[in-house]
Amino acid sequence: MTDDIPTLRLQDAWRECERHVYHLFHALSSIRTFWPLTGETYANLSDEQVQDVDQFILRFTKLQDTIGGRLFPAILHYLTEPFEDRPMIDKLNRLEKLGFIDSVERWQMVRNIRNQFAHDYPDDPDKNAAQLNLAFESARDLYAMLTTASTKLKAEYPALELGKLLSVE
Amino acid sequence: MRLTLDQQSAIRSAVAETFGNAANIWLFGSRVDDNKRGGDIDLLIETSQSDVAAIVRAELAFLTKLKMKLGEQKIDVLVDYPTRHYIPPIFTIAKQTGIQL
Repeated sequence: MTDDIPTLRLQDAWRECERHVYHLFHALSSIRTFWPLTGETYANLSDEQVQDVDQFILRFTKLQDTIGGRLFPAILHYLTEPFEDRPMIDKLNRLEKLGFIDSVERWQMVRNIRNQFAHDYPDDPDKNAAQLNLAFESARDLYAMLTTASTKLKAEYPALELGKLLSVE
Repeated sequence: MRLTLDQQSAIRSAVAETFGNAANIWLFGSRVDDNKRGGDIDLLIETSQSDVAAIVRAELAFLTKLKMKLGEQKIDVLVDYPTRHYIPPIFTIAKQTGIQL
């Protein structure tokens, strides 16, 4: 057990990501029985199915926020990179340069998917359905970003203990 | 209109890259009014594409490209496409009161 604050912060952020990944993919396993959605199936989801979709949206949002708001800053802190007070885009570019993020553009794309959840189109179920389908696919991207970060961390700091990320098929 | 020439051309090129050259763009809402300050960038994009899955992808790619060019900004986008089942009034108003870019 370490008492090094940057390490503890990083491990803590990682554990939070793991928790969201677990619930995200649990929701997705139920959703698999009725996706891809169409405008018509979207408009006729059962209460149970709406709950699955809501759970997915909640965990997707939280996972995205945790990676961007906690994990990435914690990695930079752990690396003693002086980026604490820099804008998010600088942090992202730095992490991409260091190999902890594959593509900042890809990250921003997933970020925008998360932001689009705020928009509901009551007049356009086709679009709601298409947007959710895209989000379901992107859960894998979010997961891949965690894998990239942890692979890099383990390669550079073999002594660092990170929990094992749930494996998804 | 309260958009710099750089912002306008960033919007036009991001739309062309994602929705294609034939797409029409209107700026509407508070950014049209020279007497106001700040505010979201409200855009209406009109495309001839009709595959909703492709439109959603294009919209996302557009937002991503534009935010990477302009920095973090509040950008709201409406997309008009031929197979929409229902056209809310805001689409008509956006075209009537907006400025085409």
